[in-house]
Amino acid sequence: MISLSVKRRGIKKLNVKKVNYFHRIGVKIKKYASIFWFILPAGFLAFLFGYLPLIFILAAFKSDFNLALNSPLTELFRNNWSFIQFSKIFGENGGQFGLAVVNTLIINVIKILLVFPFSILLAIMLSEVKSTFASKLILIILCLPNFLSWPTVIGIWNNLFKDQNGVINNILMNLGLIKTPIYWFGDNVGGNEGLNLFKFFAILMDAWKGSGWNSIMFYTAIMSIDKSYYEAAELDGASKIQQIKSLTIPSIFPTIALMFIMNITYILSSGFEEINLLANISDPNLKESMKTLDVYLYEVALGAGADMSFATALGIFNSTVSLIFMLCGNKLSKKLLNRGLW
Amino acid sequence: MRKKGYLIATSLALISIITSCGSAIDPTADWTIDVNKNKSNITLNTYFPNSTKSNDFFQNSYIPKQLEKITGYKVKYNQTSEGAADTQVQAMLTGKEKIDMLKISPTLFNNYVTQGYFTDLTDGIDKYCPNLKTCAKITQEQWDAVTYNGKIYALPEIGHTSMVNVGLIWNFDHLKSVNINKLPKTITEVDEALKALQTKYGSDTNYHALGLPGTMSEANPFTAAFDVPCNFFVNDNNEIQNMLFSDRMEEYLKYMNTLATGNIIAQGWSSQTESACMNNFVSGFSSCMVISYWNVTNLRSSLISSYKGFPSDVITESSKKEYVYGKNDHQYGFASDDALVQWEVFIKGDGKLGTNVQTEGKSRDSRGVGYYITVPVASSKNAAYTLDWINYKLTEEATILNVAGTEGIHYEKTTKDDKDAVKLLTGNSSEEYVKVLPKFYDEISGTSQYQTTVNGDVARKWWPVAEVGFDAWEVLMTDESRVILDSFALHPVLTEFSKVDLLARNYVVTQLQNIINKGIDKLENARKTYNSRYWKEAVKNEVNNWYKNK
Amino acid sequence: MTGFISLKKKRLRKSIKKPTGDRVFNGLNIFFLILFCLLVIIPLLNLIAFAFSTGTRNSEVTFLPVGFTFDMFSYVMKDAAFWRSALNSVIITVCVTFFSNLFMAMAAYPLSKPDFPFKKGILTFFIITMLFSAGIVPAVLLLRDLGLYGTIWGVIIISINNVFNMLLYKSFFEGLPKETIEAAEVDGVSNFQMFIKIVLPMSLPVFASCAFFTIVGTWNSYSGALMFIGTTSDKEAFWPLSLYIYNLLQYSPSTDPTSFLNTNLTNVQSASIIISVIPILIIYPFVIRYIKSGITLGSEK
Repeated sequence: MISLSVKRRGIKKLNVKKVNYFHRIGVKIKKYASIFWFILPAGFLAFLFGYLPLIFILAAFKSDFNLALNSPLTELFRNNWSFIQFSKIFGENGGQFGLAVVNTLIINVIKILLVFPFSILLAIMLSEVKSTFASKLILIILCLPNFLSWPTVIGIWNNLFKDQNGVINNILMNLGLIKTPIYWFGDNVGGNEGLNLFKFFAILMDAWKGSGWNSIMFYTAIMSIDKSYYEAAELDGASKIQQIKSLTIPSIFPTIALMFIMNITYILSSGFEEINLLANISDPNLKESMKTLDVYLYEVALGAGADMSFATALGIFNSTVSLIFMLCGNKLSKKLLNRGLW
Repeated sequence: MRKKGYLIATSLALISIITSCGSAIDPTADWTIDVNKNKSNITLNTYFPNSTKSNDFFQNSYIPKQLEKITGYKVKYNQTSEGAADTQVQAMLTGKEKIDMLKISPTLFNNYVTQGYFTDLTDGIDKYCPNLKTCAKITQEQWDAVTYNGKIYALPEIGHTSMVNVGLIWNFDHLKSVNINKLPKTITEVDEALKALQTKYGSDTNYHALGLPGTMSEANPFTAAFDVPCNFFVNDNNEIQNMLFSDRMEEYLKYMNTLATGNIIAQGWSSQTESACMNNFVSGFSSCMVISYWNVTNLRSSLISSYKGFPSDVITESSKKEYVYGKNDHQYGFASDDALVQWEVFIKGDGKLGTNVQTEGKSRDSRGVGYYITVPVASSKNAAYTLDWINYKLTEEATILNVAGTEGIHYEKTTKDDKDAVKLLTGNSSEEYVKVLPKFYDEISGTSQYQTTVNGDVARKWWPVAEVGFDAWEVLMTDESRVILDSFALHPVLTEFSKVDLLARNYVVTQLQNIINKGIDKLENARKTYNSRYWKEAVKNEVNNWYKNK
Repeated sequence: MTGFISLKKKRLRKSIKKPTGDRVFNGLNIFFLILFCLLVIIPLLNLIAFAFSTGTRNSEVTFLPVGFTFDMFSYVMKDAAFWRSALNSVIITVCVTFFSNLFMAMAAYPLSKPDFPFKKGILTFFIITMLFSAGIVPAVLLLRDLGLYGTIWGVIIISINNVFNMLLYKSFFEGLPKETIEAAEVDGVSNFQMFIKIVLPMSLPVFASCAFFTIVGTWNSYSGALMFIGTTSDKEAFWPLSLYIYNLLQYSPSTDPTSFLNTNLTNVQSASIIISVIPILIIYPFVIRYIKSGITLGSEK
């Protein structure tokens, strides 16, 4: 008799558990019913422009995408499937693709090697300024270029380095250092065959625009270091430089590592707006040989003689590779720093 | 649950909207329309290559209004944008915009015809545009160039003149200042003149003796002096090859490189426009430039208003005009020999500097078809109206309107003794003389680009009137022996070649600029890249198979 | 006791001489910082100088205007295309900022509740759109199909989805004091009212900073318009200001070489750029105020 009642109670418990689970979800849904629809606008847009375009990825798997007669959607379902677009990335157009990737990598690697430490340096320098008024003022000035648009920034630098009436050229000529104006944006700088400063300008302008803003991240990290450590170090007789080396930098190391990993994650993207406009105002030959991956993608998609299916294939390839980088970067950051990238 | 339901419902709705949005276009034209019935309700939407005049001017100037009266059609005139015509045409065609007439270059035509972007006009031409076969004198070769798979997809717009479009224009005062008292005519003379000028004036860093627009890297008198082939030539193996591979091109590029390194052409020349060069000429920053005939009058007007090099006693407007145009009467086609501005259209090769010895100056002309008139498939149902409109424009009345205007307003008939008389090219014994009235310059001159498809014979007869508006060298060139032709000019639509034509052409243009700037050692690489990227086996075989079986 | 120790520390500090290296260090520090500031200011001065000079004397302009004139600005003021583009920019910026922040905050709020059903699934749904984008061509084709290609509404709608901001809002909402919310719940306030009346006012700092960044980003960017409107002349009426300046910088004279624009090209470009930067400069002080709070939020995320 006891076993029967135990059995019955056991089954009841099970049923109660199941009922409890759905009951709980139901309760939760009822609880949040009135704000469920909050997600709707964002969700709808995310679906519309995040997921719906994924249908057009199918365009990458066709031998040719012809919009003369059919609408894009009907054209998608024509029966001319093939993988040829992907082989074109490495075969037929492999030279241009490879060149674009190399250009992007060179620019980004140099940025990581030079501009990234420079932001850290700026932050350290700022933190050593005694007066808060001065440091705030300097910060405000240095961060200003970040809020200018790329056409503005390139317009400013173009005024300086133009070959006709550029300020730098005028000054150099007035000083008698050069006879004819140097075509800084050309590919014959200083009379040297093929020497061009395109990448140099790209990196320089990016540093000019972004270093100040990027240094804020490090600056706040430095500011949050307990002042008593510095006092202790000073008491021990450490000079400023020693303090920085052994105190500041190790303390903000997590921040540095995080930003470093983020830079590596985005190593294949190098600023479409900057390079596109810089290439357009430079010598036309430089546009051909110096374009980066973003610009190449744009040209293939919307430039003259565009081949839509190839452009889609290239876009997917690029997105996939970026995704892989992002996932790896995220994992790396979780392992090393115990936090995700975002 | 509810939210998921919403999402599913809206996505289904969206998919149905999208699929219904895009319905396929029917590319076949309707050749049963009676055009006279519905003509007044139609507004034709037309696109022309850029003419540097505003859209507003072309919509509302004299000629379109008169044309509307003659043809009975309301027409909207648009121009493609100057630098980005390729991408604009691409966007318009893939976006299925309703364009009733699109006038484009053969390269663009080739790029899109194989994909079916244009309406098949074969069956409609005889019915709606009968004037075409009688007035326009289009040869079978030219018809073949617009035929694909046996169907005609465009109307060739053949020039009614063969022209020397560009020439070298000199500042004669500058020439005199370096002791050159007659116009340079051979390559050596030109070279010496340029070098002397650069030595004398080159201390000013803005000065470069020769103004060369970037678009004219090979469309200038120098290439003709070097016998450079035009676009394509037939090599020693009886095969068609791009002009990039000719050794005449190599000599030309070597010479131009000396001009670049000697600072005779500005460093940024490849992005300079013709207007910028004209600006420099007027400001005294160059002594010579390559100029198109339709800009000569503009240049002289700019000089009259802005030139700073007038002698101190030349102050009044009329004395300045006399200074620029010269006091002596100038014969048509030649500047007065005391004029400030003088031109020479031909540079003769004399065997030096890499040229061959030429007996007379030459010109290069593709002699292909300049433009094709197409009807994009999105407007296929209106094709009959477009053809009918073109038919009206082929009449004598419309042609004379286009070239000379209206009698009594823009021109009037006159006699031989009138000093402003222009002799029409009637060809036979009857002589007709016409003189232009002041309104011609405002309303008629310089509008020819827009009002296309005219009766070739009539236009040729009235061409001297049009030339008055340019007042430059004799544009008409009838001597076939002086023309270097494009061996590949009139080819039918070749599928493989069409795919690469546009990109290959753009590539060659940029490479020529590159080699002129950086030196002849870049030529090898350009040739290799051209072959590997564009002139692949399939393309090469297709082209040469056609050529051998021509 | 502590007071005594700190006094000792002070005396110790005074007695320890500051190494001269430190003074040199400080001096160099300030010197280079001022140098960098100058590197930022001088090009801007140059831009202003060009905007106030006449084109014929451009060769003399360094940092001060030569032949001071307002002609360039009056030319730009009279240019109808410039103001049409400015209006387009204003419309795009206002719409994107308002709708993007509103929708993202609205979506973030339910997701910030710890026990929200399907939270993980919905979050993944959004994060995927941030990680993987189909590219330019699919976006163009989709806009074509919707009939929005070539209009500013296409550009607006594409820019509204900003999952990064949503995550920022989400983390901020999660950090709001639980007591206030629980107190409101006890009072019987519905979820919707709670969002509007309580959560929103409390999250003004993050809202403001996100809104400012959206404004700056949308006002400055030209790539969206470049891809979805195009630079051909028939679309000129739809260009935002950034695209207008993008074209102006590449302007090459094709008509009358003696026109005002051709002889004063650099100066008109500079004047246009300055006018386009003014709205950003107006907002800039406000952005600075919220830099600290915005960045600490970002570093938390």
